[in-house]
Amino acid sequence: MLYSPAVDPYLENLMKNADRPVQTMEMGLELLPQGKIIVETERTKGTDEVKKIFAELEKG
Amino acid sequence: MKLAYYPGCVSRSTGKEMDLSTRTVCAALGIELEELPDWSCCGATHVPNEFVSIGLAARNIIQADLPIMTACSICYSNLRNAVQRLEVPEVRSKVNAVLTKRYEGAQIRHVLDVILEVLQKNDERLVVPLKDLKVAPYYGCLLTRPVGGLDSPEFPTIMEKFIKTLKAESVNFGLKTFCCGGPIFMPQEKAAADIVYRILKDARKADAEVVVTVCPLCHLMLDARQKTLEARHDEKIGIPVLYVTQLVGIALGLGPEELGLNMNSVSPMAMIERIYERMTEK
Repeated sequence: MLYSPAVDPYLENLMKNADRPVQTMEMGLELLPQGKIIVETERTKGTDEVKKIFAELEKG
Repeated sequence: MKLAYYPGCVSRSTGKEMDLSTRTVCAALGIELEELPDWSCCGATHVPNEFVSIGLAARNIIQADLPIMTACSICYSNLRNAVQRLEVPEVRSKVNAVLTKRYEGAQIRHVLDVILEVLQKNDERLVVPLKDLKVAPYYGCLLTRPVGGLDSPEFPTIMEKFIKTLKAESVNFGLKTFCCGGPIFMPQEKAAADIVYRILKDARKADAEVVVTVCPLCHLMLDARQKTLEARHDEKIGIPVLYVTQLVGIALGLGPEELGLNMNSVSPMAMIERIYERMTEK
């Protein structure tokens, strides 16, 4: 299924209010020179356990 | 004193100075920190499913054999919430079924509480008196929630005790427990900005020279958003916002880089110069 803002209220909200991504970018421009925007994809080793927590406990 | 240390996700990004100043100050005060070997997200506010949130917190908690300390009030609140909910046998058994090691209970502490305990026993290490420094204690929402933690959610006073221990003066700051607007920043930026503006104006009205906080989200909103607010309101606010660990670090005579003060958006250097000027005057 194609990703649609109609099924994602969060994205729908952003699209209705186009200035909000600008605010987010403003924050990004403030934080980027300070080295505060990073993505650490490999720090956690136990990702299988994390995935299991989501898979098993999300059922309720 | 030896504690397990849970840095939390922001310690690697927007809260780098929180993590750096926590490690530096704890080392200076003789508090030995043992970082959890394979920590992951605490399951904080962005994980909407309660069981998943508790499971993520428990995955971190079971890695420690010591009481766990964190400097982030969001992590602190979430780990404490998990400990409380895991007292319910059905919840504990459900969560234990997916963990590699059984959860058997834990003690969660915030760095504010730990540092205050150490300084109340011995304050000889405080070599830079912060006398006459007017400090606005900003609690935010999560340090004192869920109830049963280190202070009252409605009328907390622990930060005032901390400020008094540093020989500084806490100002009468009406919005000290007001939400910073961080959780609604993305969907309702204008409303969030109005909240931050009110908080900073209230601190200014109380003659505060600095706002201290315990939460990286509050810090982000009050510090990193300040320049945008100044431009929007065509008004200079210029009030530094420090983590409690940064403020105590100044009182311990530690250097700006050791405390990550160069990473704050609103520079606290003029305030620090005033502290040293007052010191030489006396």
